[in-house]
Amino acid sequence: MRASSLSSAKVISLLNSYFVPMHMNNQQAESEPNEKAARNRIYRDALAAGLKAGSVCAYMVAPDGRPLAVAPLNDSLATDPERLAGLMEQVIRELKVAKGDALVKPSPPSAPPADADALVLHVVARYLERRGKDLVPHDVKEVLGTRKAGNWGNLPSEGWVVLSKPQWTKLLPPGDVAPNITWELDKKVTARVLNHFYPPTENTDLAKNRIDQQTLQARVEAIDKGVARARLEGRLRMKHPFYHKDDNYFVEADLVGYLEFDVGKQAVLSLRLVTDNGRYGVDGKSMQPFGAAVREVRAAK
Amino acid sequence: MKQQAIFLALTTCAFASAWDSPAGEPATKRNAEWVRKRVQAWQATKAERAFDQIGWAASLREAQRLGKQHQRPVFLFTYDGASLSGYRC
Repeated sequence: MRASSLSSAKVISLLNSYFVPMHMNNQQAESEPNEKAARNRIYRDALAAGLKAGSVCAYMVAPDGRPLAVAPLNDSLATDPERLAGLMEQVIRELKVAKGDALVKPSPPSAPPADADALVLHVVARYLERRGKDLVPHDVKEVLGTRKAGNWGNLPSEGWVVLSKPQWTKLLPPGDVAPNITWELDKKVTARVLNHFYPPTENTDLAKNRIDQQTLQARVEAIDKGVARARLEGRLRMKHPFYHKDDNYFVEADLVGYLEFDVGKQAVLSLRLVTDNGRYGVDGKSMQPFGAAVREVRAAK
Repeated sequence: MKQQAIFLALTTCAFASAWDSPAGEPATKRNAEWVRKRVQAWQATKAERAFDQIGWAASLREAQRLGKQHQRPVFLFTYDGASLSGYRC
């Protein structure tokens, strides 16, 4: 629904001009009793009103709390922007809602709160396709915001990883720094990043991952004005179930990146790491190309 | 089942090219500039971030409060999934 109706300019305009939009992660709601109770009340009231309520749905609820319409995800009503917009317009007419500005200012998701000396990393992962010699993102310009946008390759997934100072310090070489020295980056710390190296899947529970092979070696290529630049090379093989049940889906990827750090202050200045020839799918049978990329969004101090 | 079929369709389309490494590019070409370009090329585009143009309320109870105050209906989108995959459904 995010790639189809919730990427449609028409639906977005209706949401901002006539509704109070709210999205709720059902898993997160489990730890927020008041939010969960409010959601469950809407669900029960919708069922009592004879509407098709479910756990993955778009509910339209009157200001007095009455559910007026429901678009379940397993019904094309939710994923067809034209049909969903039609239902929204019906609710607008019924309630005689006045057009106005968005009540909440739209804002992109941002990095989670972190200590001042933390290293904050952004991770993006997406399916790729071959174009010529390159593996590139799928061209979805004509698909996004339409009812055709219904597969896992339509959008990338993103997230953040926050490494505390004791954690990112373990990425640095243990001894003196000189050109061509090598070291293996701490496996526990790098696993915190590599656990996010999988393309969009229904399962996003990192606890269900199993890293079978993980190497990431650094070599100092140059030192200039007290800043060392180390090349990173490694490999990842990780089991990551596509759904929430066990399966035989694996990530396979070579890793290439660069780590820059202040030699005197022992502080990470930048970290870039990408997959090379990354593949995901049924082990040994059908795997498809994907890419994951990490960049620092706030350097460590 | 539908999602499985979609995934398989993607898989089938990509299978022919999934195994070979980028043709003709020796490992030495994977330099800092190559890494930088890949990081940049794989970031979400403006079109892919359309979802972020929606003025989402911070909580359901806040949405309900705003709805009453401004006489607007609440549009509640409930979904399964977490963190990295964001709001994908």
